[in-house]
Amino acid sequence: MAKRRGATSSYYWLLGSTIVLLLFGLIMILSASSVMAYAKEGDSYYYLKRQLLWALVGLAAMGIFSRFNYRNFRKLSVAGIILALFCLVLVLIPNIGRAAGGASRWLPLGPFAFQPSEFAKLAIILYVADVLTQRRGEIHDLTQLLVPVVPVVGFASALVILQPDMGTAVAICFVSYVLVFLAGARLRHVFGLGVAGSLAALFFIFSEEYRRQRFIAFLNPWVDPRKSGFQIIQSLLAFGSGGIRGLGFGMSRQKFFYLPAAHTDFIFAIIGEELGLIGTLFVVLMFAVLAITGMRIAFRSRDVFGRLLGSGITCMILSQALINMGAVTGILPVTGIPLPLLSFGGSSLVFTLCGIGILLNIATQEKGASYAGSDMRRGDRRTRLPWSSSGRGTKVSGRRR
Amino acid sequence: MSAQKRSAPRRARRGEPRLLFFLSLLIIGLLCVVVRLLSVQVVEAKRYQALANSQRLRRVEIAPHRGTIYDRQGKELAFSVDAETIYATPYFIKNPALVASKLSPILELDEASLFEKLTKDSGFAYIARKVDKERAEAVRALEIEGISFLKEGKRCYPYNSLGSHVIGFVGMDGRGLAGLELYYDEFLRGEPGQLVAENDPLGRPIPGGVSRLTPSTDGDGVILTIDRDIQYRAEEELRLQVERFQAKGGSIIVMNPRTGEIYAMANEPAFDLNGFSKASAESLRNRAVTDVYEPGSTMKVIIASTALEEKMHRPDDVFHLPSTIKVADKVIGEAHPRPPEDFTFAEIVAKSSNVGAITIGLELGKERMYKYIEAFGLTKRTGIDFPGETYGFTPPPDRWSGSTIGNIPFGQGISATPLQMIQAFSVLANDGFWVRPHLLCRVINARGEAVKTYPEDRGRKVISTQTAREIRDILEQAVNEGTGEAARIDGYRVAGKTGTAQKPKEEGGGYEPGRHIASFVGFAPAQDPQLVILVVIDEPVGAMYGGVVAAPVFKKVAEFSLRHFRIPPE
Repeated sequence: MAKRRGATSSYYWLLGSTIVLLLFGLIMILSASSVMAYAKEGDSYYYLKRQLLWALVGLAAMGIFSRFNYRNFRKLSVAGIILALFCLVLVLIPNIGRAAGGASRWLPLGPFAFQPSEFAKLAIILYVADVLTQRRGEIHDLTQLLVPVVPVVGFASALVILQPDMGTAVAICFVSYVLVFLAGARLRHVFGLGVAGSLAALFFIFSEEYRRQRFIAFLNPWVDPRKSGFQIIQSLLAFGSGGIRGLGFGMSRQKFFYLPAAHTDFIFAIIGEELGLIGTLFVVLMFAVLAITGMRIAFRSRDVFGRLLGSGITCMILSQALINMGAVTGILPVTGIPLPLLSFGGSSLVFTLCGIGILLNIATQEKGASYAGSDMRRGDRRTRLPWSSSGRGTKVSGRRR
Repeated sequence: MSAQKRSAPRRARRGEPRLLFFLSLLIIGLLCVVVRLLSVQVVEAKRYQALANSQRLRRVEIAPHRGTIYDRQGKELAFSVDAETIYATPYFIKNPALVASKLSPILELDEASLFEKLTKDSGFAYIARKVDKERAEAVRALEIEGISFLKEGKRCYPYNSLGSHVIGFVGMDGRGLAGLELYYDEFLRGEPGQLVAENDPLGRPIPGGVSRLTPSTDGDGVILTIDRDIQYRAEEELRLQVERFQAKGGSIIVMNPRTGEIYAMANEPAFDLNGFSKASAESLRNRAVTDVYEPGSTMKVIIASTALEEKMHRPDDVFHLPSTIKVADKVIGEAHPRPPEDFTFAEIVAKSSNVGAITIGLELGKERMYKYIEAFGLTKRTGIDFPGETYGFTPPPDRWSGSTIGNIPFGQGISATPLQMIQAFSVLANDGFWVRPHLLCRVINARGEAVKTYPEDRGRKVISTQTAREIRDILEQAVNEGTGEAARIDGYRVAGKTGTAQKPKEEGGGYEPGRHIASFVGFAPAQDPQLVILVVIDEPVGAMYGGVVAAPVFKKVAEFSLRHFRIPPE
């Protein structure tokens, strides 16, 4: 445990906020799902039990990854992305992929189901971070930058869109894009990519009728309160009913079949209804803690890969949280992205915890909060920063070990 | 190599601000969510809360049990049974077409119109109102999201058309729409209760949700003066006679002259109370109260009463009557032409002489005549407890034309409702007192205690008892030896007067040739009247005289009623 001594604050803040959100999520899933669980499965605890199981799996994975040197992922990144792409193809094959709600997103895994897109998110971050680390010298060269990243990310996104799961595809592209930006690409390249990506997103929104409907519903949910606007209206009613102090734990009314997906995508609304503004602000605060500690860990990482990987994982968790919270409060279109750590959903939870495990590992390899801080204040960065070290992080890691 | 080394820190320096920049973007994003949460959960919370409540809180009105209407013997004429109303919350109907196709066969409703209701842009739409238990259960078994149920009372009329015009009917909302159901609605309807409950989209209560129950208060029972058996008999005899003479319609009223209680009031055409919505507008009118007619010769009785009351004549005064009489520019003769003849005062009424009546009328003069027409109640509503009563038209004396005084004495150029007319005769039967007619006996609450009783009324004196008795003798003579012989009942003394009037043209100016209103009004037993009965037949074909068309109905109904009330024969 000695190696963690130097990384105390980031490590524990991250671990703390994660555990708090996870436990909070479990409690809220019980409250939000019990009615539906009882109606559908005859067991009020049905969803809680499943989520609890996944939480244990996820925590175990988090523990493992927090002890697994993140630099070794560089060797695994290509294998990872190939496996992810393979799974994404597999899920589209009718007799293999399992469909639910009009989308085939799951691969059956015994009594459970595995969502390849959740794995793909993590694999993409690892891959893109690795590639950008490798090419950090040619970062100003657009072709050098684009050739390995764009085809892979594009292919993965296309496969995800085919499921169809626009939300996840957007998240994948967005994280990759952020990594390109953080890796130091020229701003005009970043800007150009941003414009291209937005146009592509608009194209996809309007190419599919239900997405167009959702988008219109987002602009004005009252156009069709019965269908496309239904979810968002019910969600707003839940938030509004909660007010500042909420109706009290377990007292949600909207979960009685008014709010669809109350325990998955719309759990934030149930939190808002039962625990009020106090509950929702608490969640936002926890995500803020996650964002700050995550970025702090990336910031303090001593190598480019750790820095990109850390910020990529943070970005993935936070962007999903923002997309979800934005959607349920009606400031973003509904995309079907779960709220990380809180929404019911095994794959999302397990891979989010994997990502946090990686972040924790990066945190353990900081040089130590006080040291890094004083280091920066002195402005003596050159010798300390990973950019100046000649090679890959493994070397540093090797030294530490 | 050294250049590369130099560039590395520059990139590094560029990288760190980007991390900070990105972190601040994330924080800004979270702040946007916070701002939005403040807006939704604090600023606009009330609005959303109200919306949420309005979709969940079902204010279900608990319809009170509407009071029963009884006849004077306590027989139920109208009562309410529980029925269920099916309604939709279109908002929650996920697949309106499918739901419509499922409901259509059960409710026997058109699929297209169901679809329309299910897709209505509102939170509430009636699907089917007041359906029977079996259908409601069948729909309930489908467990369709957005379909809910409501208990509502359904009005039943066990005797279908019996007393249809008097009883009236109730609308879908449980409010009286016509007749006594309308007039006594405030007693009958009771106070609705309310159940406020939080429901899920299937209409099932949310556990732990708000729920408040304000119980309903059932309506009071209303006991009428109507006698089911007399009403039935009156309707039956009227209907048969209307059919026999292919008449357009008719009315009959049976009442107690002493108390003003109406035992029966019926009209032709009638309608089935259980299917009133399908009845023609023509058949819905309670003509006895809402329509006026020219009373014809029955009016002569009022003129004769006036002359006796004013002590201008005695019943046995003799008049020498020419065969016709000229008033202003009109020559009026008898219904059955006769040579100039001597008539007693009594015979003028009994044999219904137009010339005689006009002679008396001319002696009275218009002022006095009008005064008594007014006193007998022919110029205003009787004030019966029934909605929509009208009254006939009697021109005020200052607007009489030269020939008016030659018309009114035999009942033309003046109009009255059948009820006004029977009231005028009730005065004669009731020793000269005018008593307000009424249909309500009393209102009773659930425990059977009287809540309201129709006030007893000694009445208003119109003529002296002596005059009334003298007229009664004259009217008895009219039945025994005059125009009303068909009204005679074995064993009872009957008094009455026939009436035959031409129908005025609807467009005014003269009378319709060949179209008459035949009537008979009389009472029995003549020496102590217990019943007054008026029969009016509108446009009989093949006969026109009251003595032929209306008097037989009187006889049958009176005979039945006398026995029904066990009034001993003489």
